[in-house]
Amino acid sequence: MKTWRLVVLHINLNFGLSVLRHHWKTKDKKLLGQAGITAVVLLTAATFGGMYYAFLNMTYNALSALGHGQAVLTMGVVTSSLFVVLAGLALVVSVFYFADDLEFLVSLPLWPHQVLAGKFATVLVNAYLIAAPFAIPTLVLFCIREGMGPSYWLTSALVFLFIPILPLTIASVGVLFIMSVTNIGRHKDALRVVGLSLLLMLALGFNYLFSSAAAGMENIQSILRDSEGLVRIVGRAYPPAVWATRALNPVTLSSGVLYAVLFAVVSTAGFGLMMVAAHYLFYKGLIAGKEVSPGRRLRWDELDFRFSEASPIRAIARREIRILVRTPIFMFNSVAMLVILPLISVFTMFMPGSDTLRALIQSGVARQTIMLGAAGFIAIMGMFAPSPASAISREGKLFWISKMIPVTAADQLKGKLVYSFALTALAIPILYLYSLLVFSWSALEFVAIILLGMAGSAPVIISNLLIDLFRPYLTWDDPQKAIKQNFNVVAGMLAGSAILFVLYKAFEGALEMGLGFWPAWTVAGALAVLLALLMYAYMVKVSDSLYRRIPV
Amino acid sequence: MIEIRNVSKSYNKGQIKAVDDLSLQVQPGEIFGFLGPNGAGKTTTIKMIVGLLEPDRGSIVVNGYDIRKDPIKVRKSIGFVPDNPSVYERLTGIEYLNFLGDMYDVPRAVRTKRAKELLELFELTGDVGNLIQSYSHGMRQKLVLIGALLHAPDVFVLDEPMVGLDPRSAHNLKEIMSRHCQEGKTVFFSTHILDVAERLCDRIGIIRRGKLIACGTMDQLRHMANNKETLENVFLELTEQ
Repeated sequence: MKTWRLVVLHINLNFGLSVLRHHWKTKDKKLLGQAGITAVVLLTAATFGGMYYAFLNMTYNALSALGHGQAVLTMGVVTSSLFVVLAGLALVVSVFYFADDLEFLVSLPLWPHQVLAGKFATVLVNAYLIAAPFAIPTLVLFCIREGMGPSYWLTSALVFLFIPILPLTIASVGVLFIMSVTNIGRHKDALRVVGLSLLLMLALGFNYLFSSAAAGMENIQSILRDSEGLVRIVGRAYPPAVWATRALNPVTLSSGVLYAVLFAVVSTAGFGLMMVAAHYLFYKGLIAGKEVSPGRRLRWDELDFRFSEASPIRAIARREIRILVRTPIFMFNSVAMLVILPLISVFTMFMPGSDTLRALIQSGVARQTIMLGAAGFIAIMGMFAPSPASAISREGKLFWISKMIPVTAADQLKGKLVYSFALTALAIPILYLYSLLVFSWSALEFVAIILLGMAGSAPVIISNLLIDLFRPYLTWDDPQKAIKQNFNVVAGMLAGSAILFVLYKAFEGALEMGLGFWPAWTVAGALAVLLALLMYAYMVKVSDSLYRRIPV
Repeated sequence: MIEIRNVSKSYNKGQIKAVDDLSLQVQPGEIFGFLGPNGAGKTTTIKMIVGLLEPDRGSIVVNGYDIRKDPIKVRKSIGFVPDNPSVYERLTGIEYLNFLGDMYDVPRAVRTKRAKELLELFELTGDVGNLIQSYSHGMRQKLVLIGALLHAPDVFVLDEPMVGLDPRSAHNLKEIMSRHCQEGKTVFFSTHILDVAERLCDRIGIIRRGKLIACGTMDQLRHMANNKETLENVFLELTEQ
């Protein structure tokens, strides 16, 4: 009963249900704003789901001609499960270990697993939102294309309900373990980021190795001869996806029920295992994580060397970087994820079977497109790595300091810009590694990529900062909400994508007008700089009045 | 000097009047105590003085600068200590002080000298190299106090400053407030500790439901109440009416 009350409380807090009720009662205009935000988020998810549906439809056409249409179900379950694990890692860490209410909850007469069950409920609801754009199009497509009946709908509802549970429990057990073993010494935060990064690499590496090993082990003909061959290959990294496929597309009714039950029972068992792990590991990681051991005590005379002077803009940029680097959840989300994923993709190019792909991308035809993609990668890094769309939101309850200091809002934002560009530049060593190992760009090509990439990142970063300036989300109670459950980040992604699309179209248009590759490259760069300057001028103009209006 | 003229602030589209047509003046060299029951409007008033909230009506002038027209000059004149010492937990104490020194343009030599004095006074020297995350509530309160004094502000505004301080630090803070006042500077603070207000303040203002119901020296306040024995009696009587 207590656990259930905790679950209800956490869902209420996570979705702000009491706040919504209050806005409804007081007829507050904020309710309209929140409805608008929800509509935009749903629209974005539906657009994404629609694109995935179109992709699946093409895949289904190809596979069903070979008699393997049901493999799209396995693909859908594997993809949604993988995304739940990837996005779930950061979410689990933040909700389980960095929420504001944890100290209060620990003081209540509850078992660790009861507290964790409440926290897990909020993570699970969010996991459904992550899984939905992949799982729902898959289930609907298969139903429409195969003309499935009512029993399919019932089974698919059951499968959807269980899809995120097992991946999320796997992520949770991993996090519980990492957080309980990284409480060593004074650098536990750094150790935690390293531990979580290893966990992420393990999940990706496991998935990659299984699928590539599977492809190498069996030849195409034997896969195609077996009606379930492709299903088994796709599901080898994650067997529950095969059970879900068999439940949804059964040979006989009883075998369908059997696999549905198997899928549900294993997911429930995973949840049970996580509860047991929580009982022993949760508080161990949580309480020890709250203990911060002070370092060596400073002597009075040592202070003379500890004070330094910097310009306000530099000091703000330095503060932002220090906080990002020292807050595990910000560091893992913003930097670690964006460095790890490209690095893994470099190494996958040297795995067995990647020779053809490597030859193709090194050929002259693809070379220019890849250079453009590399510049786009820098610009995308500008959007994600420092997450400028949450630059003000991340200050949260400490925004009072920014409002108090005698520095204009414009100068404070300049500090945030410096910080954003500094982190965007992290893309440069990654691309250099790519150049050394795969693309062999000339010095001129490499400089051109960096120049266009940094120029492209400028309007993206400034537009994202502007979005956060208009409506910062300062009342978050766990840091994950500031960066991932923040509408500004979604809006920033849309704005950034639109800007990059415009730049790409300018490049394409210049090529179509008969300009050569490098002149078109320059046109795109010049347009990026122009857009950035216009946005920057606007940001400086409105910043003070908008800062004043932000309530603290 | 602080000059508040006909200031009002409401929440929920005017349904809740937090501050209602408030006017008062605090002169240089004066310590002003701001008292009132919970939810009376003390923190809202203080937040408006320091520029964290915008008044719906009226004007606030600090050190001769209007908060709307010259916000940066007002902020440079003020040292503010909020009721809750929330600061950047992931910075060290010294990084936090350096950050504030940079924001208030305090030269390195000056900030080093002042910080060393204040750190010594509040017994924080040894801990200032550690992450603020490792500080107790009282240590954070002391760090915020030191940060607020680093640029030697003309106006010192404090919201419930004694909460969380140990007796020695509370005593030191009272000394600093008195010294500040003797240097011709202004001190404005809210408190629930009536004993401190009675002994420290030149004048006291009492706010209730957003309205200033009494303002004056201790003697003047005594005249307004039947039970004149202590400030506590005066406060209880005036806020009950």
